[in-house]
Parts: sequence; C-alpha cells; structure tokens
Amino acid sequence: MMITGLVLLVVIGGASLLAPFLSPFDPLEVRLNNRFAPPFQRPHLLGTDALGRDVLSRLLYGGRLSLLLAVLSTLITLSVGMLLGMLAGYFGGWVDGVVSFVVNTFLGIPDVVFTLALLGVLRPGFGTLLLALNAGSWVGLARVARGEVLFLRESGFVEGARAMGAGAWYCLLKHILPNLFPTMGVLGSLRFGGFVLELAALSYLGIGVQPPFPDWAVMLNDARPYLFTHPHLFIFPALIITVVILGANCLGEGLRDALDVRFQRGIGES
Amino acid sequence: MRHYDWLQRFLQMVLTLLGITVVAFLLREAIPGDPVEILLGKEGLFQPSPEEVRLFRTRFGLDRPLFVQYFRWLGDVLRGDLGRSFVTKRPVAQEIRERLPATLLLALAGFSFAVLIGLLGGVFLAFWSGSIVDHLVRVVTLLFRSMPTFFVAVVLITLLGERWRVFPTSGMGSWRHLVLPAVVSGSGFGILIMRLLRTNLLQVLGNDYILAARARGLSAWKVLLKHAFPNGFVSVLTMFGLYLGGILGGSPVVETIFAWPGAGRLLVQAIYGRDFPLLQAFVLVFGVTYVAMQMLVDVCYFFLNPQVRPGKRIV
Repeated sequence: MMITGLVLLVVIGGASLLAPFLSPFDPLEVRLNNRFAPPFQRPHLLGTDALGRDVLSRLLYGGRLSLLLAVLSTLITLSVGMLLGMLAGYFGGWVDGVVSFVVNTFLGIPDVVFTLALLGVLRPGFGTLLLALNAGSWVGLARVARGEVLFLRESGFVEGARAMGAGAWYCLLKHILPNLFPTMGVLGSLRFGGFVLELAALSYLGIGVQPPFPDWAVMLNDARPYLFTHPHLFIFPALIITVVILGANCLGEGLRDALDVRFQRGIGES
Repeated sequence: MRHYDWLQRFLQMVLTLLGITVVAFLLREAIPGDPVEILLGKEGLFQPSPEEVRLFRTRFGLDRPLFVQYFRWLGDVLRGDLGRSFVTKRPVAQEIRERLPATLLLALAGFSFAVLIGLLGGVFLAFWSGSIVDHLVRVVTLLFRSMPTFFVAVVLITLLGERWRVFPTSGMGSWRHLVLPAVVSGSGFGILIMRLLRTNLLQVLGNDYILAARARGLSAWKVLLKHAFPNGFVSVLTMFGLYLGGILGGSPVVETIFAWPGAGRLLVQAIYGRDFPLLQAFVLVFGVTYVAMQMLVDVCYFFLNPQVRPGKRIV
C-alpha cells in the first residue's frame, strides 16, 4: 500500500515536472476550429476542450502549481509544527505556556474559515495561498510533536545523553528529532493529500489558482457545462486529482500500518 | 482536585477566546494598503483627500496606539457591535445572524446523515470484519475520501438533478432541496465515523469481558451492541463535537455549489467582495462557537466517563 502510494505520487509528480518535455502541444494554445476533439485519437490523445486546447498537455501542466504549493505547504507545516512542538515539549515552562497558548488559539478557529478569511484579506497570489493554507494546519502537528517529545524526553537514551553532558540542542537534534520522523512522515503525507484537496476546492471556487493557467480544478470547472456531451473533459482531471490524493492517503496509511501495527480481531473469531 | 481541573480548563478557554479576538483584530492590520482610504474610497469613486483621511482617523481613534485600539474594539465586540459590511453597509452581526438558520439546517441534516451511515456502517463493518464486504467498503471509502467534495457534488447534481430530475439542485425550499447538499456535506464525516467506530469496536472486542459475555451465552450481536458499543462510542463523541463546532461556520464549498443561502456562502461572497469587516467577524464568531463547542464536549465527556479529567480526551 505504501509502495503503491509512493509510485502513484512519483509518476504524477515526475510527469508534472517534465511537462515542458512531455506535452505534445502548448496547453494555452486556442484553436477554435478544433473544439471537442474526442479522446484516444491522434494527434490529441486525450482530446481537446471547448476552446480547442489539448487536454493531455493541460493535464501535464495542470498539476504543477497545485503540487508545488502542496509540497511547499507540507514542508512549511512540518517544519514549523515540529520546531514549536519540540521546543514546547523539551523546555516546558514558559516556552510551553506560550506555544500551547498559540496552538490552542489557532485550534479554536475553524481551519476553513481562517484560510478563506486570509485569502479575502490579503492580495491574491502565490505567497498568500501558501500562507493561507499553512496558517491553521501547523498547529495539529505541533500538538502531536509536543506530546511525543514529552514522552521521549523522559526515555533512557535522552537521559543518558544528558548525563554525559550533552546540551539541549544536541539532544533535540540528535536524539529526539530522528524519533519524530515516523509520526511526522505519516502526518505529513496525509497533510499533503489534504492540501491538494483544499487547493482544488479553492481553485474550483475561483479563489485558488487563477485561469487561464492550466489547473486540474480549473479544468473541472470549465468542463461543467459539457459533462454529458463531452464527459472526457471532466473525467480526466477528476481522475488525476483523485489519484494524487489516493496516493498520498495510501502512503500515509501504509506508513502508519508499517510503523505501528495494531492488533485487529473480528467478533466472529472471538 | 476535580474543581481545580475544571477551573483550569475554564481559564484555558477564556485565554483561548482572548487569543482568537487578538487574531481577528490583527486581521485588519494585515489588509494591504490603508483601510481608511479603502473605506472612504469605496463610498464613491473619489479619492479621499489627506485631510479627510486624517479626520476619519481621529474620529474613530485609528491614530491611537495599537493596543488602545484593540481594547476599544474588544469593547465594541462585547457589546455585540462587530462593525458594518463594506458592501451592504449593514451591521455584519446581523448579516451573519440572518444566514445562520440556513446553515444550521444544512449542518443538522448533514450531521444526521453522517451519524446514520457512520453508526450503522461502523457496527456492521465491525460485525463482518475481514469479510469481502469489509474489504470492499474499505476500498470504496478510501477512493471516496480521495475525491474533492465538489467533484461528488457536481456528479450528483448532474445525475440526480439535471438528468433524472429527482432533486432540485440549488436554493432552499422544500425538504427535497436539502437532500443533495446534506448528503454531500455529511458523507465525508459519515465515513470517518464509520471507520473510527469499526476500529474502536474491534479493539474493545479484544477484551476479556467480551469473551466472558460470549461465554455466558449472549449472542454476538447482543455483545456488540450492549457491551462493546458504549465503550467504542466515547471517542466518536469527541468527533461529533469537533465536527459540529466546525460546520457551524458553514461548508463554503457545498453551500456555494448548491446556492444554499447559508453562512458559508456568505463567507465566499465576502472574499469576492473583499468585505474586510465581514471576514473579521467570521473568524471571531466561528472561533468562539468552536471553542464553546469543545468545552461542551468536555462536559459531555465527564458525564459519560467521570474518570476522564477535563481537557484529557481519548482520541
């Protein structure tokens, strides 16, 4: 399951990365004499849309911005959440007090409301999207990381290192950080899927990635009126978004199962 | 000891509420450009003169230090004055209040649907765990969770609304208007409950007292419902509270797609209109509701299992 997820993500990520070399046509080139070409025919393998643009090329380009945003957001969320969680958990005292206060405050604001409010207040753009996506998402990770560190701090190997004269930062980086990676890997990959999902919804509402830039969610929106007459315009982008998120979920849950095996027994066996 | 715990929990809540007011207040500071010029400029198409801007600032105390402004604003908020919408010029508190019934109706309908499929599904899957149905449902739910909400909504609208004309696709009216938005907004949470309940039940079923009950000759179903369910249900309750608290802000995507006149749609419209006071009020109002909801969950928790101390939930 983990491998499947990873493969799905790598294939789609790689294809998006290599879009300029792989795509047969310009994704923005409008050809009104070639509208609604059916799929699975040469030269437009996946057909063309209402403006005669090549669907395959648009699909290849369509993930670039969302995937880049999702990857960056995941990295930011993981780093911020882990750093603050580690500080709060390890040092305790007033550091913990301040971090916990901030975490509780942000936990108190529904994520969707906060993201949308930020998008409305700030100037639209790449940075704003990045900020809005991350604003509320790091707190959950910080809370988990804090809990883990509280536990790790008391464990034998950390105490041993401290007894041998290791400083706080050495303990944190050398002994605690590596032990956080499994949990953070699971949460990070699930979070990545969440980001792709959120971005798609935002773009669909017209407040995420802006047209005419090719984007999967924007393509879905464009395809709405032709759902019955030309279903391929809807099905391909829908499929690819689903596969990306499926890949992230598979990776996350696969990792979780591989690292923390819980016993499961059905009532029929008991 | 117990009283002390509750006091601590209560103080923490007050602190969180204060934090939320600070965040909401600071949102105004995040507005690019001068909010006064934006406000005055929006009244008409003219450019406000520097003199007008200065007068406005003095009149509304915007030339005072930030923390003075904050406490003045907090005073207004506590009196129920959340400012006026840039777009409609009406008090935003009123704007949001008008949208609440619709959002509440949709939230409850979606929630009921989620609870229905969640509880039924969870119990059935636990009973038949390991069977083909269990695996099939697992694959289907995994797929479903990987699809954006709007994608499901669009497919349902097109099939059930436009092609077969079973349900109306937009607006609010009879119960038939409610079906599609409720199903779309509730299904994700329903699946979550289903999976959580299944896992919990299976964990509880591994205990010795379950074996003892079975040995006394109770049927598998009876054991599942009477002995395992109450224990497996506790953490599901936490999810209920968190979900209800969150959904009171409306589901912006679902409400927009179905043209449902609720708070979520208002929020999206506020973004299009760059209606700053309204956005600020949204963060404030729904932050406060959410926190209150979490407190409520803690209280419920205490009654379900008095051993659980406030703030220490089992998830």
